[in-house]
Amino acid sequence: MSTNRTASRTAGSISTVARAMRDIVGRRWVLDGSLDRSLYAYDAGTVEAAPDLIVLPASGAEVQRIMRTAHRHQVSVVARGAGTCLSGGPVPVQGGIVLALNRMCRILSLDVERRIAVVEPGVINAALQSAAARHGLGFMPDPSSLAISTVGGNAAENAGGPRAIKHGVFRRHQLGLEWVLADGTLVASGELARAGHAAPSRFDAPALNLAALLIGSEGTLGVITRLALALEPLPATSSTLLALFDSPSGAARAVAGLAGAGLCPSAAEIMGRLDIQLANEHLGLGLPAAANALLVIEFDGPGPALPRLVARAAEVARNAGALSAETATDPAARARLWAARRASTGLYGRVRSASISGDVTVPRSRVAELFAAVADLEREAGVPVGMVGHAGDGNLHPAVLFDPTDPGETAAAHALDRAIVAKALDLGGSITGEHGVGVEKLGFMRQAFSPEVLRAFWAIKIAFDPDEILNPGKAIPAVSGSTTADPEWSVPPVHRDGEAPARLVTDPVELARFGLGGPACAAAGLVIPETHEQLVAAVRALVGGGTTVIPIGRGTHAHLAFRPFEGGVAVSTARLDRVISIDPDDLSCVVEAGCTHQTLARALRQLAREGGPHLRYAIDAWRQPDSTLGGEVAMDLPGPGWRGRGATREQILGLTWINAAAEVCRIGARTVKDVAGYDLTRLLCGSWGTLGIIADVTLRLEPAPECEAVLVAHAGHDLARATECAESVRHAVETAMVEVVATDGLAGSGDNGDRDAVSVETGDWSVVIGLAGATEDVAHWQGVVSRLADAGGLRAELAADGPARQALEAARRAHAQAWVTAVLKNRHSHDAADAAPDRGKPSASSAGPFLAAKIKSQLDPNWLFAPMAWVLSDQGYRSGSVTNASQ
Amino acid sequence: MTLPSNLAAAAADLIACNKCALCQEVCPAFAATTLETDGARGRNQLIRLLAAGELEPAVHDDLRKRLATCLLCGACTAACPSGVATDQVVVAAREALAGPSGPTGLMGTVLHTVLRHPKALDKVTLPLRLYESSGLRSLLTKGGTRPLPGRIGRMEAMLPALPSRSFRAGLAQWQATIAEVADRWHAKVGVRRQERGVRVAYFCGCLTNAMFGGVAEAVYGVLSLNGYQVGVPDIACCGAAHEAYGDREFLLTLARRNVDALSAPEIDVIVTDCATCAHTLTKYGQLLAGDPAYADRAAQVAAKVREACQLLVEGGFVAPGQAHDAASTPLSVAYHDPCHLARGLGVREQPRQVLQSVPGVTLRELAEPELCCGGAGSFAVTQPAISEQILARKMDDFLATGAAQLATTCPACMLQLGAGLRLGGVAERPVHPCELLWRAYLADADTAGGRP
Repeated sequence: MSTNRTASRTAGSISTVARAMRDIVGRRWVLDGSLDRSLYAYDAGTVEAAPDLIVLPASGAEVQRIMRTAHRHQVSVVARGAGTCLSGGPVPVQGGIVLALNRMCRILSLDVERRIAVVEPGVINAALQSAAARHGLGFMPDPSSLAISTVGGNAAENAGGPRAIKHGVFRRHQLGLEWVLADGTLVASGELARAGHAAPSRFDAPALNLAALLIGSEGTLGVITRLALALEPLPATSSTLLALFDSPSGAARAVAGLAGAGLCPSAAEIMGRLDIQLANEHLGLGLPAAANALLVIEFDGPGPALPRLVARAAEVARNAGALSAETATDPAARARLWAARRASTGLYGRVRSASISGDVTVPRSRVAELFAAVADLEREAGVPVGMVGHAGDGNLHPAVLFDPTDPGETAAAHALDRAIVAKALDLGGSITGEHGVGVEKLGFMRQAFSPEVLRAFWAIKIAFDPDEILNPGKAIPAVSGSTTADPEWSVPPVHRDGEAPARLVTDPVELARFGLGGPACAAAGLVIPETHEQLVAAVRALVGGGTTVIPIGRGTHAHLAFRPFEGGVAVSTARLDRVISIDPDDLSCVVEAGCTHQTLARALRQLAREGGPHLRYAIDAWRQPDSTLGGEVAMDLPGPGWRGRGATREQILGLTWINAAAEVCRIGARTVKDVAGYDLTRLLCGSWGTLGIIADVTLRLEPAPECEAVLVAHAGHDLARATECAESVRHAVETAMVEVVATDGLAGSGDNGDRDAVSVETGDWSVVIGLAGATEDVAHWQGVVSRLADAGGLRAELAADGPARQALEAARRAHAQAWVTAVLKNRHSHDAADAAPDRGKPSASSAGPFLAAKIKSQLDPNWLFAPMAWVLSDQGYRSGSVTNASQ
Repeated sequence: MTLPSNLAAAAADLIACNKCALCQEVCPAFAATTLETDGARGRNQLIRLLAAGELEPAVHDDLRKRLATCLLCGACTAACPSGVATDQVVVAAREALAGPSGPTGLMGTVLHTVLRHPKALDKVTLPLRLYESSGLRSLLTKGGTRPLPGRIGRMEAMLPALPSRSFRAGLAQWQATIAEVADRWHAKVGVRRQERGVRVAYFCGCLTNAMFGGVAEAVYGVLSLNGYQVGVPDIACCGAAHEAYGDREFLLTLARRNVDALSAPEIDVIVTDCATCAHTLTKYGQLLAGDPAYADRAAQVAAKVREACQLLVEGGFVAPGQAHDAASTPLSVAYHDPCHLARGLGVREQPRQVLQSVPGVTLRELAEPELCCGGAGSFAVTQPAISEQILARKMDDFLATGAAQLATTCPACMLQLGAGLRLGGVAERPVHPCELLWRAYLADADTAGGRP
């Protein structure tokens, strides 16, 4: 058992390790007395376990030396920030070292122009908030613990908060990470990898999204030592609505109704009966006793539209049966409301001295059912339960309150907590929305994920930390001897059951229609399954026969995705093109991988015609109408705006894919928040088919904007001026889509997307700016854009219907072209680095590709899936990884 | 170790702590070091283990040192949603660790000799007075412009400009001065000499008496001019320091002495300018509740205690500057809330009202007015590193207000803030609101003209 192994390996060597640690960080910063050990034995959850040693490093270099030493002695290391985790994440359940990162608390840089902060992990969230606020900026993740919790801890837990409903959870705001692997290797990604090299690009380089795995990995994959974080302009104003209901179901109806009314609040928080009562008693809120549920709905934005939006939300609340719905404009009243929401969990101590803090997520449409189920369970068990949460994204925190000195009640409380989690899973939810799995939710992981997915988690863990040094016993369930050698965790053999695969196409004309054929993409054949079963069978047959599988959609980007290759069979999802379901209340839909934008848009229009809400897929307009959604997910096509805004990966709630063992794997749900397990959706998104073939995707939808406008600014021959104008608009107007296009393209003179070619011909440029949102806000942004254009010596004019469509189309092409250029440039630079004489020398930026290759080797041991799509020249890194692993 | 009853009660209280860390959010010592051991949540953990008997006696000394980083500012207690009184828990643990005879060593000696009676501290202050009056101080610090180096310099900077003698030593002369000022003031201002019929015992604490004679004189003067009948009884130290060091027996001894000195029925109000004295005195009823000989009288004494500004606002005072049209000098003032007054007694508005009654004064609020200054009695001396970091935060806050003057209602805060201002190169020393009020009365008395 891994537990025993760890215990035995720490016992003998800990004093030696302590000596070595003192040499690294200095005497003062290694603590091993009994008092200190008991002080780093807990977080804000219920589990306690003392470390053998506490080490407080001051720099990333010290962390590297610490990890090398720990690795040499095989001592486990648990990174810790402020210890406000609610799931036991930083509790060293197997002893070893607690690596307290509180001394690494510097804000290293704050680039106001580009809105990027580079910070050390021990920086307290609130400290970053206040540093950013001096420049009118904010860091969007706002967990309740923000005044004390560290940014590193927030990253490790993929923290959310009330603002997540509009601005997304932590992972969306991460622009680059630097972390130390279990063996002391430094890895850097994103902003932090390119420092000193290439100029910052609008697009992420295509590569496995390793940083996405780190976010929410609860310290099991690496120790984060630096973070590049996106800052956003603070909303100019916000307005809060307080609505009271006599039942939680009314409140839930109101939340679901917001989307139907086209409203996107910046927060929608719910409090149950007990919480209202406590807030009334201890904070003097003076709410009516009849209130059994309370909603705090907040809107933010530039200002003009706010009163109308809040009024409309109030109407939605009243239609859902609200007892009252009042706007709190007074800042003091708003602050009191939020204080009540924040403090309510702490007030549970007044009811019972202990509580189990829940954190389940259900689809928004099932919030009322969860409330009802919890009420039933509460009644049966006779144990009080507090209910607060982020109703807007279905993330609720049912807190079971109990007296720990009463064994009967304690047992009943734990049983009740388990029943609530099971219920959430029944309702299609997740076991944790933002608190993490830690140790407290570990027991639910087998219920929440299939064995195939759990195996994928382990494969990733092994790629990062083969000796289980980092935070052992957390986040993913332990198995006996969980190493690559263990048969239980290696990829099972593929069973061929004689089922015939879908027809194999070898006709060159047919192949060419899918971007295949010719000397560059010389696939031996093509399979186009028409059902999910056929897809699985095709993959099974191919991998069983050791044939290279080339996942494609309609082949729109084949020329870009693949290096020249010969052989292998392409599997196209083109005929798996159905919209499986649309769930308006949850703002989500499930589509087969081959579904195109056109098909989805048609289905959404149909829904609206039938009296449903007007919904849209956020980045519809920026894609080629006939490219497949699955293909775009595989390539993580970038969004239209600045800094990955609207990137495909931000739209994915869940995925089904066929892995290298031809098994069907599912992850995610119709919920926005889910931090259980590693973020496989983001790993597969942008993996270019190298880890599996995507069968279907759950995408988030958004209410169609009330108003849209397209502005065009002609810049003549001055490309520099056009680019400058585009940049300034991107920075200033959050919701804008901005592209520089050849003016020729605006006239609709055909496919003239290649900017470089056009510039030689005519050299005439325009900036296209698309705005969307509430009518008043769009008018406001128009003014802002006009001023910015004026300042840049340009004139931005509102385009009428026809020209606007053409302008958007030109912008779409320009956008796609810019991305293609970036991808090719990135590939060239990798090739150049590959050919360089010092290739293979360890550096932070080369460690990433090696790590990616290890993941690939774990998930696809025979490199059967799209090796030609591997961004790096595969053979080198592949063999490199093998050498590395055997050392 | 048998569990002292206070610690047992504390342990019961601690069951409600769910380690949510809202206390760390507000703990000034934790903010300074971010070490778990220096925060309220960490102290709770250690005390829980102590109470459960899980700590070897060998680590008790270590624990005592760790608990010494608590300022007893009470911010954690105020912030705790579960109502855990961490400051009381720390006091109980310090008591348990000190044992029945209280602290020993240097601190024990200081507590039992120097901090026993205002006169005792006064005696010890004598060499410091000579240091000031001989001109040696001015010489060494270049007239206060260059602080002495190192830790000594920090302590030296805490010393206010010491008068040549203590308040009590000069009381007789001061009473004569008051009488003379009162005559002029009544004549000029035209307020009819009146008696409010309120008999006030002025509890002039050790620190005010020895080091802040100016504050005591102002309080005495302000009350007298406003028609309060002021007496200065012979009192013992209030015992706050003894409580903080876990010296419960001596605290009770001092409390009994003070109850004896203050329980005369002719005393209507016990007033003090010191937040800490006020806070401690109000706890006498509770402290002596188990002593049948004292319980009733202690409760009566506790109920009569008022901070000076609190009394002025409740009992009434003449707003200065009404009687003449002389232009008042503008003065921007930031007010620092002493922990023991704001969180301890809930007195927040009254000092601000007194300040704002002074012509020309505008109040500029600190961003964190109730953050402890890091003085906390002897804390500044025993925990210099943490104390200095907290003080720096306070000084940054003060400088950001742009106010010219810092005011507060506690002599211990004034020592600490004085050091901050001196080391930060700010000329103005911290003042008590009554000092500004007294100056305004003097100005009224000395202004030519008067009511038309």
